[in-house]
Amino acid sequence: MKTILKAKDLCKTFSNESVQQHVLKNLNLEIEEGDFVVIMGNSGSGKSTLLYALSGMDRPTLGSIKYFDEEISDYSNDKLAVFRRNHCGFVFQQNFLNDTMNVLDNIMVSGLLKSKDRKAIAAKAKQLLAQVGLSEEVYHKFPTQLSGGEQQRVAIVRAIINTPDILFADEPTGALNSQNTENVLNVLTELNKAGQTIVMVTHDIRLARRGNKIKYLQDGVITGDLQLGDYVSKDKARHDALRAFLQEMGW
Amino acid sequence: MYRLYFIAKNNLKKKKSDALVLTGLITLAVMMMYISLSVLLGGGRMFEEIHEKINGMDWHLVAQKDGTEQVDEILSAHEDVEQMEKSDLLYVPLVKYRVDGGEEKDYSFIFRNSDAEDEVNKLNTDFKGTLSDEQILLPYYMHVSDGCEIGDEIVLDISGETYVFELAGFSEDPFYSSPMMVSMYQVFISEETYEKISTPEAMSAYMWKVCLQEGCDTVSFNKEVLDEINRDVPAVAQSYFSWSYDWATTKSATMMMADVSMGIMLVFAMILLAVTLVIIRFSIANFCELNMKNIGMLRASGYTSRQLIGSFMMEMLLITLVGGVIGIGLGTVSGDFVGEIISSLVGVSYQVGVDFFSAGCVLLFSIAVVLFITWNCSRPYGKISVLDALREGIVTHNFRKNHISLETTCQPLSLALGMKSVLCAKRKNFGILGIVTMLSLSCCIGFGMYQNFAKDISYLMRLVGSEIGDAAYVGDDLDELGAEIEQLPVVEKVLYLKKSNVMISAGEKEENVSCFGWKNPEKVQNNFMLEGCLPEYDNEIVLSKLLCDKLGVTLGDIVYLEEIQGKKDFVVVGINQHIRDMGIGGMINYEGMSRLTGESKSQQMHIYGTGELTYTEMLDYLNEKFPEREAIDIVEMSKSITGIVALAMELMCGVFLVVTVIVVFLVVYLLIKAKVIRERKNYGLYKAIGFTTRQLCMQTIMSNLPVMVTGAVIGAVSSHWLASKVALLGLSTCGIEKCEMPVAPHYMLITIVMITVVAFVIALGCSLRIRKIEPVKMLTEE
Repeated sequence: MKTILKAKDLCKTFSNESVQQHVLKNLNLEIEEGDFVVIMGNSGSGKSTLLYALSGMDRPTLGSIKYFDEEISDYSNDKLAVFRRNHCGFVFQQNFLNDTMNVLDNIMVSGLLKSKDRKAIAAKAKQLLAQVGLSEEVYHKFPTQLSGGEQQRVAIVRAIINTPDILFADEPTGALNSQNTENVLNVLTELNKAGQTIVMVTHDIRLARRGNKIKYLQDGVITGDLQLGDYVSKDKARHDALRAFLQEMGW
Repeated sequence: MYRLYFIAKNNLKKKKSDALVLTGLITLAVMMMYISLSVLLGGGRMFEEIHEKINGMDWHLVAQKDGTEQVDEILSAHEDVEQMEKSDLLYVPLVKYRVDGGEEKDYSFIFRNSDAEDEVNKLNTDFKGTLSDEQILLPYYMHVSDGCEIGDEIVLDISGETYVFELAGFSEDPFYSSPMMVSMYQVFISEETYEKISTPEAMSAYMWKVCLQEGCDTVSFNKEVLDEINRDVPAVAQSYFSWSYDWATTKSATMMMADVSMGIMLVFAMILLAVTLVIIRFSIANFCELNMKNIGMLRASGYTSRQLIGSFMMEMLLITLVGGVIGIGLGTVSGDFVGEIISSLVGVSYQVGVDFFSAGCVLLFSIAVVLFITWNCSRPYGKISVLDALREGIVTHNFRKNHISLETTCQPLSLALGMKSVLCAKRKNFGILGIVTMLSLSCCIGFGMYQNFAKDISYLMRLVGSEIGDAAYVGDDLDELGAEIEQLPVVEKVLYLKKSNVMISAGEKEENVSCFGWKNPEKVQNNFMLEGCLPEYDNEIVLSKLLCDKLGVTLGDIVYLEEIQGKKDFVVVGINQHIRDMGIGGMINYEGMSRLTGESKSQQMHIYGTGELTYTEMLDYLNEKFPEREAIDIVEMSKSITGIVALAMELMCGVFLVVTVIVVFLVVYLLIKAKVIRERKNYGLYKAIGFTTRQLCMQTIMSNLPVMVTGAVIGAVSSHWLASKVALLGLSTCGIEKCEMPVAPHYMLITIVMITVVAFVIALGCSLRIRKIEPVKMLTEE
């Protein structure tokens, strides 16, 4: 597998007038095509900061991030925007759907950034909506008329409408109940099985179980790395391995 | 009360820029209202003060000396006359004058003896002492309009004789303050120089100055006494240089331009206040939506909806008080500047002092309307339930329609998203549309006034009803000269006029009017006919619309004109309109004039050229050809009146433009700023998914620009129909019934482009705030 994203000596420091907070400290990480990487760690360990730095949403203070062979850490804001548009998809804890637009438009607003073929985008959006289990009925509904799980699935479709190389997810089920969480995780797993590279931040062991590579972050440094095989439902050995790993990391 | 103040103070801290914009708008509105109101209320007072100071006359008559002895008897015998005085004056219809080596100008002058110790209408001047033979006092109007300064050299050319004077000071006489009322300058010189100027060319005349018993109506007196004088003293009725004015008419006519200008400013200030009220509405709505949780917290901790509404009202009260006080302060500080403008319109030194009455009225009015609107638009937010508020919750979207579906639209993405925003906030955008339409309309009306009444005065002169040929002659024995001039190849036509003051009656109603007898009425250029036809026979007359209304007559009715030949009947064959003589007058032909006065010798002659020569060339040509009679530069003379109008129109146009730019600036600034704050999370998300700052800026601009442009276009296009109606409204008091004030398409275009460019530039500037939005911060903030 080819390395799609490579972070080297990554540092991120937040500073205000008197205090400097080093969130990421010389962090090194490689993500390969088709990976489902889960980044775990305690609150404040720098998980989200790492995710946003890797995705080009935020710039590291020091270090390099390479997308294949392309250095992106020194890109301008607009160039980063174009990079995100072309190569990344995002799913957040809050779905951030625009409540003045219906479901289809919420997806198309992202799709039209990359392609001008409205019909093709609309058709693809409908196909992806069906793929994540949303019927034709929801196309013209507004976000506030949907359940939390449905909203998040719409957000996932919005994230993958441009066929991103990497899908970044930051606590994608944090605001959902258990049934909806399960639905969303199934969607992500299916996507990964179809070849989608996913980088997900979570502190929920149920979510982590879905990944094939677990990175444990502590005080801005990756302190542990666990390789798991492809996800199989009710795989107890996988669950035990993950639990043992996390215990070892002091979870 | 302190609780409300405490919340209001904290709210204001949170929305400093909103508070600043609103304070700025209220300051501007209050300042304009204060200035216009204090001039409208105080202008008349100022004239009264001068009138009282100089024992001012309530009525006066100027007429030649010969054959007017009976006027003394008529006036002395009148029961309403308290004091009467007769003064000498010299009337020179054409004086060439030059101030301090500047350009030579022509105008009519009356010369007065400064050494005459008048009791009525005393000389009112800042000059102390006695004038030497080389000194002169000019009307204050020449200071503000011609820029004359004390010490300047004034060269007067009277019938070929040159007199050089030193300007010693200025005089202020409300009757002769500006050419708006009497088109001549009244100047004072020493007795010796006065005697020297008394040549046959300078016509010696009397000025009868009358003070009336207290409470007498000067307009009625004028009518009554003129009727008697015209009947009994033919020398007055037929003289081509007799005139009389009463105090009430003079005062209102002199203040007319200032009053109209200030009236327009007042209306504009009200529009500005209306704009402020709309912005207050937006501001409250934005603030509530952004601080819904805080409102919920306050409600949860026991604040009643009344208290919350009260806090909004307290907030707006503070803003209005601060803006109002600053506005009144600025209005007072700019008093000198405003005073100069008013002085240039009315011709006496005008000082805008502190006017507590106007200040109080304006402040109270502003506070009342602001509080009412605040109460009205904060009620829904005061009533929101605690739980809804804590859930950040008024549901703003009604799920009726997904405007402009991205699936089907063919618009570019930024435009489509911008238009979605426009359609999602229909009510707000209707408000903005209304504001911009009003501004655009006022701007076009301003341009229309400038175009029709300042830039090109021909239409104004048509409304006034005065002829402006290339040259004119005034005096006796003009007919022979006219016959010769008519033969000249460069002359297209010559108009002959004889004026007479007549008593016109219909039934029991009667009016004293100036009747214009034209030798060739069909050639008169500036006669604005409303209906009917021109007088063809000696018993036909055209009356002005206002006179018809006053007499209660219409086409086909008989009216009676009384002059030296007694009472003659005339059939009303036409109705015209003019501003001249306050819209009252009659028009007959020379045969009709002969019936009235027994003769029809021309008193005025207007020469129109074929266009081969410019009017200055025509003047030189005529003066060279007929050196014994000097041609009058009528264009230059009319500038003294049209100059005032032009100045007022230019000022108004300027005020409209500046205020439009300011309001568009403030509205766009506030809207875009509010949008960027309110939608920062959306912007964060859009950035995260790959929108560039430029795309988001365009999207934001497009969410306002279409409304702005539409408003500008609607306003500009509607001015095509409404501008004339507005002008008509302003001129209706002068009996003007038809008035076309077309706005040239390029002025409409300038207005649209100006509003669009200002809106675009400000929207662009404000939307650049999006640059600072970092997606990570927006998406992770609570």
